[in-house]
Amino acid sequence: MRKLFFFFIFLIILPGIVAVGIQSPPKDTRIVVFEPYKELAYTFNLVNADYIHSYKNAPPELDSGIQIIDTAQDSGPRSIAVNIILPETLAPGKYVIYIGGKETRPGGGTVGGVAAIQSAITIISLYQGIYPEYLFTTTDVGVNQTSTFSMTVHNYGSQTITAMHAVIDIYSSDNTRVGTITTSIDTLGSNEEKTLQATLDAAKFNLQPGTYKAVAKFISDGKEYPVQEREFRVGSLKVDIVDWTPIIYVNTTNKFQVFISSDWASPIENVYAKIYTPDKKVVKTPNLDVNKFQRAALEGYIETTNYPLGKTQLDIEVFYASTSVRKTVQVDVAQAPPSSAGAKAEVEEPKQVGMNTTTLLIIIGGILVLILINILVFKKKTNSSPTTPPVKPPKI
Amino acid sequence: MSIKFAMVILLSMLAVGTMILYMTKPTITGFATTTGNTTVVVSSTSSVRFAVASVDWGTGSVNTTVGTCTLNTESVKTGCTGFTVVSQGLILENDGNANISVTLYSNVSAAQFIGNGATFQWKVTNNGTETGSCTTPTPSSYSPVNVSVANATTICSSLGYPDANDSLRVDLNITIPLAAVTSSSGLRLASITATGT
Repeated sequence: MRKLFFFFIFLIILPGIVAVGIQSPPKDTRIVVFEPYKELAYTFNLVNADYIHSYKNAPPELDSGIQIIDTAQDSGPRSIAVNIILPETLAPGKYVIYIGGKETRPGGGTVGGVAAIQSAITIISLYQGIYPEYLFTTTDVGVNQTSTFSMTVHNYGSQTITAMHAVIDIYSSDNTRVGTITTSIDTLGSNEEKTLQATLDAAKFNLQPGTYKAVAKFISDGKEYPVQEREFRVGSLKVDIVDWTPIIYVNTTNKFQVFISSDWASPIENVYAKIYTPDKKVVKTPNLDVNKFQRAALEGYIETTNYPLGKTQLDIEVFYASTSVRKTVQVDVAQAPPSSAGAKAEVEEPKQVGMNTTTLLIIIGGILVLILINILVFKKKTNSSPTTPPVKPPKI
Repeated sequence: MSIKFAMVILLSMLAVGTMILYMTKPTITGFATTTGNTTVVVSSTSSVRFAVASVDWGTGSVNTTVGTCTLNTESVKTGCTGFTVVSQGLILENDGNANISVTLYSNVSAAQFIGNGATFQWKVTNNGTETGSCTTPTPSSYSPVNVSVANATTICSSLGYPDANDSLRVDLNITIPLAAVTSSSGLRLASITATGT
């Protein structure tokens, strides 16, 4: 087989600096209603990196009025000032200015993964009349449980919305409408935001586990706006054992992982597994809180002294929410591989704490106790010698 | 460690502790007692960090029998000679104290990175067992990288900040056709920028 060798070196390399942060003024001060020639001033702190390039990213209508005062561009943590002068006119709408920091490295050269962070300043130029913008969100629900669906509305108009609500139709996976829920009716002032909510009772509509669709219609002052669709899931209180460590090594301590998957729409607390080994031992894993619809790994350690090589069976029982699921699985018992990076990942020897470490720990503990005694004795002395003289009663 | 050495450490610690206590002892000043209000404004900190910031496939070539070399960060290496199997994608963490949205862009396209006919793709998932980090990491399957800030891909609209659920994994996938390498071989570099907002 003839091979042509064209050498490539693919590098996507860290430059050593891999984090950057920004501390921003409170969010409510960064949302501003447009007024002609309005002046704004902010201070941001760029943090977490030694070389940060500050930048702005703004719509063209506002760009010329934005000034970043950065006296130490491309240096480490620092404060930057941002001054903004709004223009004389601005078409109705929402404009977002981003002020940010991006990692840089001195000298360039190697290219690498780069972190950047930015903060938003929002300028709102109000529309005439009412102008609702709305966002519909759903949450997953368990069988026989309730869930809250929300419609968040912001009125970017100059007038108040006098009556608004949302009507939400629920459809099953075969597109059959299975029910309708509605929010309460509310008002909304100019440049205000409110969240309308409706409760979905899965029991009322007899929703079984599966995926559903919610179609929300927003109605404001008698006018219907375009619908928004969201999928949501109805889950059952069930945890499955979906995978496990396929190979364990003989005559050593093996980390054994049991992978589980939750079908429940809420977190399940204190999930654990018991692993019943061929030599009649029971290995219990630590407890774990499993998030909704989460896949998680439970870990235990199995001693495999004198296990026969070849295939062996283990029983795994996972306990959750006052019930359990049990599965018999097959794993390979193999000779421990020669020590290598790959083998270390599978076979973990318990950590040995040597005499030197123990001695050191005792010494450190002793020092801490003595310091504590010293502090307590000192405090007692301080308390017994007041810094102000006692107040004498007035002489009559 | 000798007992003498331990004793020296112990006495040093005691001396330092005592000095600190004396230095912080309240003193009497001429300022009259008064009351006042203090205001504390707690600002939010947004911060992103690459916990794993590098992918290095090393040096290699295209196997001419196969014609295309495919590499990704999920241990795939096919049609290649040389190169290193990589099983770890980039790991991105929200290490601030507020939820952030995250966008991603590359400084080079597939053609610029490798050559004509090549692919350069990414996909984003919640990292390991941190499945609550992001509701819908995007894209969930390998998709071409976006180039430039304006075309940055929103990979997560709300990345959480609690340590147990604050990280995303960005896997990379490249294919190198033989035609791409015959025109230009050499060092290839790419930079991926993650921006938190």
